[in-house]
Amino acid sequence: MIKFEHVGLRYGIGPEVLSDITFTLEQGSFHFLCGPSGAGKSSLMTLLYLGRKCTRGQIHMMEKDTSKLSRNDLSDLRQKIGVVFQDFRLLPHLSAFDNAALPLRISGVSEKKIKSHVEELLDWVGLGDCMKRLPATLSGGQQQRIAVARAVIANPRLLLADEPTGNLDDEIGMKLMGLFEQLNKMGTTVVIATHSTQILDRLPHPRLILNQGRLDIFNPLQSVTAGVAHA
Amino acid sequence: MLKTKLHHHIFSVTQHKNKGYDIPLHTRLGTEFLVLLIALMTFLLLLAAAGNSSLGHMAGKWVSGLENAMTIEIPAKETTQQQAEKLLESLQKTKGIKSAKILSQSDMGDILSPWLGSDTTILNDLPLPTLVSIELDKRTPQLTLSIKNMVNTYAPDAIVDSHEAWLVDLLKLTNGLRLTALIVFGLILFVTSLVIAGAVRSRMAMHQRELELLHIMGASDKYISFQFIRYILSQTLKGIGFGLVGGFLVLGCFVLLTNQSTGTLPEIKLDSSDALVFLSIPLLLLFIGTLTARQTVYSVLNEMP
Repeated sequence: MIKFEHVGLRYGIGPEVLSDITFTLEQGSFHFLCGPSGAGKSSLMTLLYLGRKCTRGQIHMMEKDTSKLSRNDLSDLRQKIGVVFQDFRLLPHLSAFDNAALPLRISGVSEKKIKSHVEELLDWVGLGDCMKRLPATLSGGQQQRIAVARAVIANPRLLLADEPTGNLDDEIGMKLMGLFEQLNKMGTTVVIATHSTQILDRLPHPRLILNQGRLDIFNPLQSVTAGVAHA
Repeated sequence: MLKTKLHHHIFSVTQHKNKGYDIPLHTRLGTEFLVLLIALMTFLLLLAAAGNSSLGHMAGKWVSGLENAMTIEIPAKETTQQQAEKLLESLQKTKGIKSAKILSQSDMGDILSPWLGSDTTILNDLPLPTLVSIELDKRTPQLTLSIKNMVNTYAPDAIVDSHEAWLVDLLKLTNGLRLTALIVFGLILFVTSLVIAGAVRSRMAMHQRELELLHIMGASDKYISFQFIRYILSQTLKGIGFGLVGGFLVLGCFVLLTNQSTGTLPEIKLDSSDALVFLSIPLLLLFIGTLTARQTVYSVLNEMP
């Protein structure tokens, strides 16, 4: 599903923020990405959602070498990835409904299907009565739920979430993790970056632990097949 | 409470106005500036096209007036009148000559009135040449040679003015002016393209976050460029509308002015070919807008992975 081989990333002429990252995630696996602030979690997430090209090494995604894909193929690949950003990145001029519907519109799904899918999902995340409201009129927690709805609406093959429960109360947070697990059982590969010890304690999934740009500690569970190269 | 309602209402209105745009291209200031520039470009294009067209009409009018005409000037002498009459008789029998006539004293008076005034009695005291005006069916080298031979026979010291020097200079001038108008037309289109490219680039810089988000979500370059093309087309259409209204108002005033002139000012006539040129201006601008927006978006997006 995802294969990183000796991947490095640097911004401009600065030092490498990620060094020699090597791992494989199987289709349908569930991983947490952990590590202290500044460890490179966001950079690794950026590489996972194909927001940047690595400066060295190779990334294989869904059995494709991403460095050899055309722009159109990369766009198609990105459509199969759902991302929940830490800062939500909702479009402020679009309603909750239109924000959640965005991946489906990009994929060219019919408006009729979009309406039924989005209404159902927003109802499920408890925002059925806020569909026409703009993000600025919603609370942080509500905005986060729209961001989650947007990430999962197109039934992605890979779901990436950066601190998805950060603004939610425990009950909704756990409900949300339940949704991620449900999607995972349906075959979606899930990677969640989190600091939440509560979630990490309650959900016994393998962890990718980043420290100073290196995948230092690696939890060798079955779904992860390759180790990490150390300097 | 009231503030919240008002806030919600304002946002709802904004949302309604921008339906269909994933990138809020209409919500920032500066959209009027693009409309204004496109209006100005449309106005200038219309004037350049009208200038080119009226120069064409003017040249055509002058050329058609001079092309099939000749004047024979017989210097003032005692035998001038007899020479003129014999020449006239011969000319009138020649095939290819539509009409030939000796200009009367009254005709001469009309020609000289700008210099001598309306009192024609003075002409009796002046040694004026006799002018024979000829109108041809169609000017050909053979006919011109034949007329020159006749003049050599009946009035060897007469001068034949076939207006060729005038015609060549006039055509050079009008063709030069028409070329200038075409160059101006092209330059305006080029500047319009630059203006649109600048507007698209600045909008893309303003909405970098939204662009990145769409890109990460898998929006293709085509999908994103379509949003900008729609925006540019809507702004261009508005600008074209204002520009055409302004341009036709100015042209209307100019037509009124020329209608009141003595005929020396160029005349603006709108025939089918001019109408096509005027119609092509909005189409050209829309085409350039679409192409420029697309290419600009693609070149900026190309910098993203």
